[in-house]
Amino acid sequence: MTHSSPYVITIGIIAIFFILDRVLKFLRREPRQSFFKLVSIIFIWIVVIMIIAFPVSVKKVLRMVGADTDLNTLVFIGFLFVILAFLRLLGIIEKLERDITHIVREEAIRDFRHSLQVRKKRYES
Amino acid sequence: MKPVIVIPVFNEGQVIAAVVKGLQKKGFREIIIVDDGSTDSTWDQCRKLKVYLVHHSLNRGKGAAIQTGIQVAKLLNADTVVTFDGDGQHIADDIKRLLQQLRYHDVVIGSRFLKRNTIPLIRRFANILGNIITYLVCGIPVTDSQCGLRAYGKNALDSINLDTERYEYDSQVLAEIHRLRLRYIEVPVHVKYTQYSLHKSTKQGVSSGFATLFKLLVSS
Repeated sequence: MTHSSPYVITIGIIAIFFILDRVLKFLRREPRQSFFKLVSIIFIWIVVIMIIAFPVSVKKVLRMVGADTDLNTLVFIGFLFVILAFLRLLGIIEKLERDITHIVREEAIRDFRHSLQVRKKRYES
Repeated sequence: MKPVIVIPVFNEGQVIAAVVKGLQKKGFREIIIVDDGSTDSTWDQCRKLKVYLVHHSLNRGKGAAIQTGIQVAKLLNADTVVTFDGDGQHIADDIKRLLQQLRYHDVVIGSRFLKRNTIPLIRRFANILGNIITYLVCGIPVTDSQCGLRAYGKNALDSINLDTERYEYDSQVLAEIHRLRLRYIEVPVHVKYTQYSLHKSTKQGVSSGFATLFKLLVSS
């Protein structure tokens, strides 16, 4: 069952705009864009669209996965948070790895420049 | 054309001298070795050789080491960079063939599968899988997405910019070729699998293969 009121259409357009905007930013490799952000934004907006456009179906799905009672819903939401936290952690580790590599590389190149200068001086003298 | 050979190495103390001497015998004098945080005798062995030496204080992976090597090559005003594995599986003669093709292309990719080479079955299978995934993710069909023997012209050196660190680097280069619309070609190359190279613990295994796949998907 779909609700096609102006309110649903407006939210739908806004959601599509935000999803496309984030996908384009990610594809263009703009600064501060990460895979985690992309997945999170898409996930959140898809959930919003689903809840607004298909409220009956969402209820059915929730009942099917057993998340219609209070405790089960809590467990289900907790599970989603764990997945999101895991993805977030992966993103942070990835960034840390890149930062470490950057520092290691800078140090290696600085040492190389120094050894090149020493070699040049030795050659000149 | 001033080709600079970049060799990323990690614990290759047993073979690195022979690899470098093989290159020098074929007339390649400009060689950069990037020691990626080796814990064996690699650094001491390299210091005895007539090469440019760069040292990563920590192991950061093959991709990171190649990227460092390319930056150092740029410092040396290189207009051509050839990447060459440090475990002795490549043959120096193949470089000339790559350089010939570099006159007409921005990137030349060596392929172990376009030539009749003795390659273990498991590696053939892993490579086919890697090629399919690389094609799906990066959009470029190649026969050897993981070959370390590649040549980059000035245009490619100036435009390719990657921050991937480990084995996903080889596939990410293909994604950059696709994104930047660079001209590329695959050239058949020889490969020598020795007992040493086959049993090296740092080579890509099943678990690291999955890690590479995940990183490839995340970083593309």
